Amino acid sequence: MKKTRKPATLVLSMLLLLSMLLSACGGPAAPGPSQPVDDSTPGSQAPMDTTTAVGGDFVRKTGEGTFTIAYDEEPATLEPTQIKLIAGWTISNMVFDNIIAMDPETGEIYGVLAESFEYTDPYTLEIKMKDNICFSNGTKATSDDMLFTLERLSVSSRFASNYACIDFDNTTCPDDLTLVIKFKELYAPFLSYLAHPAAALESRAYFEEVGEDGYSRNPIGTGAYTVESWDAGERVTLKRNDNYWGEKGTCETIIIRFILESTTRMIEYETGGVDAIYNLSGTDIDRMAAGEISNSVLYTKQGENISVLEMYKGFEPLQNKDVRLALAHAVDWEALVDTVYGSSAVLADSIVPPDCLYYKSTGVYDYDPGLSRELLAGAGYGEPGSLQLKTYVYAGTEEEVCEIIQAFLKDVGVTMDIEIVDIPTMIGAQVSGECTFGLSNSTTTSRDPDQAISSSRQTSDYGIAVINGFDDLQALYDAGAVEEDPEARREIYEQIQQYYFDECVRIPVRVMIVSYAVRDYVEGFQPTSSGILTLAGVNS
Amino acid sequence: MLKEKLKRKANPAKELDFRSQSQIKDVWMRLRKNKLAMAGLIIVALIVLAALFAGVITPYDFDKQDLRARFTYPCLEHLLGTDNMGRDILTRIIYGARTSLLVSLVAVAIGLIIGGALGATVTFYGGKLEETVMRCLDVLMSIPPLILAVAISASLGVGKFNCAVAIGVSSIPSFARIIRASVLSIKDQEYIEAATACGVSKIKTIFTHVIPNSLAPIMVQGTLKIGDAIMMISSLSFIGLGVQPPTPEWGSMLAFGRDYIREFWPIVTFPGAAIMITLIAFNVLGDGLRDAMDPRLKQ
Amino acid sequence: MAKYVIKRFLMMILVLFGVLFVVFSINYISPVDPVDVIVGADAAPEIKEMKRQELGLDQPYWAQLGNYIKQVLTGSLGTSWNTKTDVMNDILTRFPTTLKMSIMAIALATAVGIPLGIISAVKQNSLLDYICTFLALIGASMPSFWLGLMLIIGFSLNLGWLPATGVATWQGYILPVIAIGIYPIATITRTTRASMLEVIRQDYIRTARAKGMMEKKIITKHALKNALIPVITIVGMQLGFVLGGVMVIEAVFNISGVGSLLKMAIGAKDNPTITGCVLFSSFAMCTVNLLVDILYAFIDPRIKAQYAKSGKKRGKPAGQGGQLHA
Repeated sequence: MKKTRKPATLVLSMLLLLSMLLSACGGPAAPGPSQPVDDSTPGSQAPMDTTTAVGGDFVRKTGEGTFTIAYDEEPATLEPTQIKLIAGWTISNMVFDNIIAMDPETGEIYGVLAESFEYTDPYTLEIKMKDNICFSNGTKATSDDMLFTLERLSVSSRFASNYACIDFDNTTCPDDLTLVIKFKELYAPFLSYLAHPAAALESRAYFEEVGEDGYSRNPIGTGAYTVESWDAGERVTLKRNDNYWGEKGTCETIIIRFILESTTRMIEYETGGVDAIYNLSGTDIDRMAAGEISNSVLYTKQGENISVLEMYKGFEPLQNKDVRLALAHAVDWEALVDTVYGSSAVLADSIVPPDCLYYKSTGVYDYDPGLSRELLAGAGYGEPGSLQLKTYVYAGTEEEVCEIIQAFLKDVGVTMDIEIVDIPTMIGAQVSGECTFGLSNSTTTSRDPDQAISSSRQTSDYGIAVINGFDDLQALYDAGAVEEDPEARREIYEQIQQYYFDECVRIPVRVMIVSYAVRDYVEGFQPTSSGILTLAGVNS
Repeated sequence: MLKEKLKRKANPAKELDFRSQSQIKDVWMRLRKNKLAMAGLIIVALIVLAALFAGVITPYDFDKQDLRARFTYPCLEHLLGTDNMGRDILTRIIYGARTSLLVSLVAVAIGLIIGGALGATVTFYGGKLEETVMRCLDVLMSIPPLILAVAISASLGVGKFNCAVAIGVSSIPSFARIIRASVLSIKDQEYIEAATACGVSKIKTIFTHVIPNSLAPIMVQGTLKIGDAIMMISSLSFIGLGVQPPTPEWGSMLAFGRDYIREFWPIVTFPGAAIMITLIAFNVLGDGLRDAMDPRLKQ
Repeated sequence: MAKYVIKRFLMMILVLFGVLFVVFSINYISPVDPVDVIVGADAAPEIKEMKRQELGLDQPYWAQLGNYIKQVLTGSLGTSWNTKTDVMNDILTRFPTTLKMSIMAIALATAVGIPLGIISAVKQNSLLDYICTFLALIGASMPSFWLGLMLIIGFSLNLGWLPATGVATWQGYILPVIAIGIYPIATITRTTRASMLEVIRQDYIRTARAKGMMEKKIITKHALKNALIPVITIVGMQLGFVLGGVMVIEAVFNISGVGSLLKMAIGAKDNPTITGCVLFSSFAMCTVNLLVDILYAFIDPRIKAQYAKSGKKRGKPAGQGGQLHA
């Protein structure tokens, strides 16, 4: 046993060597992102829409005539009315056509499949469809398919409440191309929702033939592309629809890949496995902006995804405005957003994203732990640990946000437990009130503020109601939903935003910067702020 | 030696006890000669001490964030640097040792107590009972351990104790099997027969004779299983089923550090190295113990 | 022998039902209401109640278990609560990738581990032995996901040799298989070494040496054959580890397999998919164990003899795996 001395020292020295070696190959010469937090306020005046192009001698590895883009998530279904994820709508956008759409720049609404659409009276909307539009299986699209689409939307878990205003009993199809929608109640943002990619024309006949499951996996639409295959967990391959009624797609094949981890997504892009990626991490945006990646274009856009801290109903201490303000002032929101998101998000200064209609900057709560302690003491929670919050969060980035908030709150004597759970459990806890305080984020894909604030619109007993007890706010919500005049609506929504800030019912946290990295051989790529792309015009 | 004699005098009747005492001494003597195992033992001891006295060793709090001092490379102030939230990495690794050791000890205890008791009892009784229980354990054994732990964790939810239960349950069958093998080998020994002949109840025989005499393989298995458990905790944490923040845990440090892996190497290198060193220490210690307990294996 | 195989096969079916029972129960004790998962916690109580009755979730535990077993017997694993797709179909489309990776990892582990173990044992206490032992130790102690990350950075990013994600091409398999294989390599090396050392010390080897047989011939002809018997068990047992490891590695390399499906299902509390994935990995593991046992019975004359005599004792002696793990 004398000889064992050797391996003992050998093991230790080699171990050190190995860890050095492994880490050495992990650390390129790039300086760490160790800049201290600078004092200039990001918030509203941070850089928004940018395009950075870098040249170089990167050799293309993907095939020509095929455009491959990687998203950060995989949709559960491809039936547009039931989709809940950005990647899903990007796909359905190409496979389906909307009845009407909204110009992203001007907010103007125009017909796509609709030849014309008009309110003949406040409770009646008449839509006339273009003639000779066929689904990719060859059947003709009719007004009954429009009606079917609305029916599907009215049972969609995400949009049902937005289509609850339709009086289906009296909605009719006078002829093959005309649909007359009757409303039970006035609902001002209706056209905004109808312009959303979710409201894409589905085929009733095909749906009845294949059922919900069949439609969600092998959808048929009138769009410029058709679904060739869906390799679950991996990719969706789209083929050009050569019988398309409108302008035909440029690329023959478009592949949407699903790469969940941001690091792996970026690496796949850098190594040439994909032509474009959606949603870069803050550090990757920095690296691209610094020109470290050759033959590449970086697009960033002020996004529509906003996250806010909600204070859920039923937790007594949070009924006290001082306590809410104390929480808001206890956290250095700017440092938090910078730490977790870096260049991939900016500090939010309102409860609706800046891209939204009627957005108003209401301001950011200053970091003032002194004030926070004072307010807490005044409310009777001066004793450390006397106020206990509980939050539920889904594993991922938001866990980091919660962890930082937890540390800040600890400083002012507030304890916050973090439960890491799956999504259904999280929603359950929010509904039941076990979750007293938590992050919630939403993407206002319709640009209407009604959608941005909608998560707290359900004020029934079983919904996630945070605005219980704020009757005046509820009145504003209702008024905003029916007001037709844009200026009057603006006023209402500005009031709502101000109310939220003054009463501190919700604390705005961050607005995502939507980012895309695209290889420079790709032409015609049009970045959007929602992440939902129209790729028919892309040439690759 | 003197102590030994005193012990013997104190319990002159318990011949068996004396036997196992001297056995432990023998094992210790043999283990001491094995330098590699001793190195493992010392590292394990250091890790345990560090975990116990974490608060004394490090001047920082594991959850103390300094958002202005993020991504500091190793320096005198922060020996292993700071992480993405400006927390001292060394501090978190030390506290992480506490989490890992605590959870793995509880997990191994669960596995050992349930598995061991089950294995010893049913094997000693034998017959239909043994057959049934061992088949039930076969069922648990035919689910890949990590996948079983993941399923349990997913059902019970995240948390230290749930994590320990998940890992503990998945290690029950292997403990039961180990102890079964060793009980089988001593079941027919004369002293057991003697005890039975004297009218000692079966339960008592199990606890006074059977279990103490099959401790050796259990100890080896236990040591090795702690290593396995630490690895499993970090895997669970890595896929988001570990412990709640801000509790530091090596696997979750790796999972969160992953996003910064390219720009800031300390954030993943050091927690990874911590897992590796700990596991190596437990593995060489376990191997050493086995060699020491089974001298037949040595040349 | 046929009787033995049939008996083992029936046993396997029984075990799989046991697994089904265990996983079903694990999901059942979860504090989360399945209806909240299916229709959303914020749905109206009437809708929840309707769904509960529709899916039979209002029935007692045994009835639900019975329904599930009935379903499985008809070859269906149910419908996913999350994607509303057929679970069996979801798994079958992903399973080949996972299986391929697992088999490759084990093949790699066997191909590397056995030679390393033999070298280690034959050249005991030489520098070569120390290096092999050291490598095995490192391999057994390195978290696979960590290694995976390091490999991506080293070989995909810095060197650009291999793809970082996916298994669209055969090159895509290389890094994940290495990352998964590292632990089995270590285990197999250690087992082979220990087993070989034990065999070398046996009398018949001494006799062979005494007869003046060439050392090389002794090793290949006598020692190896006997030393490899326990190694086969260990190789079979590695599958359990590999199937678990694949789950984590699939996340690291963004590979669409049963592991990533399971991970997704957990995030969505999708019980039918979780149960299906666990059942499938157990099925794979049982099948391999069955094959190993049969193989074992064929090559190990002791078991063969035992069987020929009594026809009663099943499989390998208990606890063997653990004891030989050295």
